[in-house]
Amino acid sequence: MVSGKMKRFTAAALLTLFAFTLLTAYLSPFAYMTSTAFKDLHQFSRPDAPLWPAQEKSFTWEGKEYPLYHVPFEDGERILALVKKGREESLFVDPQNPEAGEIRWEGRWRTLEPVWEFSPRWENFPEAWEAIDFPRLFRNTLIIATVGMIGTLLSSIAVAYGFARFRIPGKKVLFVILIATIMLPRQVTLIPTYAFFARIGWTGTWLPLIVPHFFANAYNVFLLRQYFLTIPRELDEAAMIDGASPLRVLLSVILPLSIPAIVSVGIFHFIWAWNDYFEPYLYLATKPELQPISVGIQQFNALYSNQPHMIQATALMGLLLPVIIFFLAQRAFMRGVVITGVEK
Amino acid sequence: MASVTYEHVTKRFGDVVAVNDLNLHIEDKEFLVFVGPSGCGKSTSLRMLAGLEEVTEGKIYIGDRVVNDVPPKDRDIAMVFQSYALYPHMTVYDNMAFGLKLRKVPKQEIDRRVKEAAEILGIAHLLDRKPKQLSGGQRQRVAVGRAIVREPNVFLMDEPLSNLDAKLRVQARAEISKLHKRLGTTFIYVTHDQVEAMTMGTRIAVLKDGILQQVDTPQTLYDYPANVFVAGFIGSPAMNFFDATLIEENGQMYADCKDFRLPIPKDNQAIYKPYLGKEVIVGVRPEHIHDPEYSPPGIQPAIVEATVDVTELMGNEVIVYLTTPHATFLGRFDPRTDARVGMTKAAAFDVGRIHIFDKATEKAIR
Repeated sequence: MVSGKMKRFTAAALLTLFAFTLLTAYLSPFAYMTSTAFKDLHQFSRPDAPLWPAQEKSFTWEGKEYPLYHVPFEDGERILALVKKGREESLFVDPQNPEAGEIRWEGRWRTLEPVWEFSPRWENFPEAWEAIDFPRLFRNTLIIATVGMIGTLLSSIAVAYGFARFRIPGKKVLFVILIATIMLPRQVTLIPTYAFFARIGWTGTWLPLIVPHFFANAYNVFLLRQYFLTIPRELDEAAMIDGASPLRVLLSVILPLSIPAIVSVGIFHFIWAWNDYFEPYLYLATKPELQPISVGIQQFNALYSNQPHMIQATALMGLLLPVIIFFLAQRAFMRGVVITGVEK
Repeated sequence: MASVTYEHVTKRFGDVVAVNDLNLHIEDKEFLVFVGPSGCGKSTSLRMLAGLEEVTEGKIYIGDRVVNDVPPKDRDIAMVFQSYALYPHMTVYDNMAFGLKLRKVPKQEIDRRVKEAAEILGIAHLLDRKPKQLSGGQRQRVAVGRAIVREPNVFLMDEPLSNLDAKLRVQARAEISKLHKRLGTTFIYVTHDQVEAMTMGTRIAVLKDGILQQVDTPQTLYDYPANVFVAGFIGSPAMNFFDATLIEENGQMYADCKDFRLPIPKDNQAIYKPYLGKEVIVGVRPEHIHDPEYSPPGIQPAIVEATVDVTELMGNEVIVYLTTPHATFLGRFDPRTDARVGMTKAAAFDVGRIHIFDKATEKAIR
């Protein structure tokens, strides 16, 4: 059975390699972003700088700072501090042994490679925080995403419950119509909805970003309905006989058993709203004090386009909350309620 | 405590008639069993009473109140489902207490009732568990417990034992019967298993294709089935049926079954007189076909010669499959019988216990 074992090992190894490659591809922009967020502005103008946040190392000699270089000699490379720059020859000092005095090296010092040391620049974050008024952006985004999430959960749960459990004339047709709205691209609905919101005077407010979510969303309704349908109807019936009204059945039986689906819908909406750029930009272009992070970063980008480290630091801060929420919710997904109370 | 009445109750699902003009009065404290093959309308009848299905036509009474438009929660009933339908996210205690909480029963009272019911059912040590941590038998008890604590007027049970293994089912059967005596409440029980029906019911309602065939005590159903369907459904193994013609020779009436004749006892001849010369169906239960050498005393035997096809030894008896040129039938013989496969064997029919049905209507001739 050695060959069988070998086969399984090879398969596992290949799969792992594939997953790892994929992971690397997906995470590399994130890694670049994180690295950039910690860099010093100076590093961007240096083509020979490493990818990681770094600063040129220096050595203090006789009260002055001198940069360190990798200097080649016949007997190997040495790390030396450049104390006197010359065109064809320069003077160096050995940081290990400064008492030995100046060392003469022939060659052009500009061809030498500087010594970089890892040096994350934490100050980027407080600087960006101040420059962009991050607390305001954060608060705006949080309100828009949270209230919208509550709205979409309340409305989508109610509609999905209706579709999953009640006898409604024309229910199938209504459901098909609802699902068909998924196929309408945003570009098509954008102009009429904008015209509508402009007419009722909601532009320049959060209302167009929040209120529509209180009228359910076809994706969420579909997802929740499918989940509700997997819950045996006998549970509803048992609860009804136990004295529950339809609302009580929803609250005491359906919802506790649908936590994984509800968490997913909530997270999807939250992250979508957090990252949404176009609509907030459309409705809040004239009101910077109401804009969320996505729009704020874009404005910042326009203002500080020569300061990528600040932009990336802001983006990283904006990312933090969704990532934390996602990891917390991951546990809720896992915990999930196992439906084993009904034997079939 | 309440009686239940179905008055001309009909239920249609689109074009399908699930229950057709059901008329039935169930007395207070009765244990009524709805029995029949799948799709006969027994579950639908129960679900209409529970309020889970709407009644298309007719009226259902609980006590003297028409409940057609009363929601399930206000009917004062409790139901045990085939799947048990325990709430997976609640503990056993909460499962049982849920209905009482919704009815705003005081906390101490809930606690008292749940613990008492758990004591009766022997599940007191399981109260903190979730349903998924229980065995099938334990879940079934919890489902019954959830119904008991409610102290309802009527108990409804929809095949509550069909998910249990055979041994547990026998045990649970006896427990439910005991529970019925102890609680003194009306029980309405649905099953497709005629053994459950016979052993538990004070009366049995046999349904087929949405039509009530017969409702009576188990013994009466067994002794006097109203038609061929009931005769064949009640009793195991099922009754043997033979196509026959009623004839009279020398003042003696016979059922002529082509291969053999069965004499009709003198006492019954008068009721069959109108059927002389007509085609009928003769029914004989396997337990009324004996090995002549071991036939019990007091029977009126008629000997029929047949070939032994199969024998099944059960220990206390042998089930013998017999064939004649036009018929195949089963007999329950004494285990000492010499019947062996392939041999020709005499079988003693107890003609005192035969049933005769009208061929056209399939109804018993009485």
